[in-house]
Amino acid sequence: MTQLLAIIMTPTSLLAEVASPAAGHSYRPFLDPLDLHDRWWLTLLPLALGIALAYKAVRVRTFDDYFKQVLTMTGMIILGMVASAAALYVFVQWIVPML
Amino acid sequence: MQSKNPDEVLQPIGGILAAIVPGLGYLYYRERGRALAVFLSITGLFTGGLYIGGIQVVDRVDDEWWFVLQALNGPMAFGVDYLHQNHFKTVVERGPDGRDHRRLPLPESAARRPANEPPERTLTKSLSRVHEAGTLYTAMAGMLNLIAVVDCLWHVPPGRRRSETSGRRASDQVSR
Repeated sequence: MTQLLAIIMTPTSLLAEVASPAAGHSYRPFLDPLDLHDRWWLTLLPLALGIALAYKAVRVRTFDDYFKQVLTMTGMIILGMVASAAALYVFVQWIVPML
Repeated sequence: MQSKNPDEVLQPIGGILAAIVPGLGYLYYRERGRALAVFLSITGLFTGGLYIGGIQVVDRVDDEWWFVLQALNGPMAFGVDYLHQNHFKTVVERGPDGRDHRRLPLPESAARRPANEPPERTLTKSLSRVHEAGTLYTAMAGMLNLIAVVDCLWHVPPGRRRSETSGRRASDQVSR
């Protein structure tokens, strides 16, 4: 967030400097993608948490058990994704070859 | 099936505020806790998507259908797209040596002579799952903000309490 704000507030003439070879080829947050290509599925866990946080923020009656409901919904989303992946694996690997 | 809350009426101001900044509609209704939770969760998802996939995940020109969902986040999605299109998106053009050259979409970059100078460090769009994950984060943030906007559009007017027997957040109003 800080990096993004810095980019937004950076004069246009300096933006070329930020993205130039002179700045080195190091990782640039919010510009370059994370090097998570082998473990991309890990990004689904915070995604499930974020969805639950936002959805429950709108839907809950009181915030007394907000985080409990968020954790429950997060678990349900993750279980749903795992179940979907397992079902697709069985379908593609076992059922389709039999057709 | 849940019955409709008779206290809830069309609130254009609340809906517009919610569409401008996530959570602002709830602040208009003086639901500070809900406003903070909506703001942090939706902007967190959007920022998380940018962090994971880079600024390329918001692209009004090349990924227009994804941008339809991302635009539901409000002006922040348009701001990020403006930055991407005008400051960071790689421009490919034919150089004087007859080869394609990649440069930034900045006037300074256009004035450079690629044959004489080393190439600029441009963004390369990831084709991997990381890009998809980043795009998914920002699109989900937009769809969740749409739920908040609709909720703010049909809401109990500010300063008026929901009745205790109706409305899914009646006890919230009573407890405050």
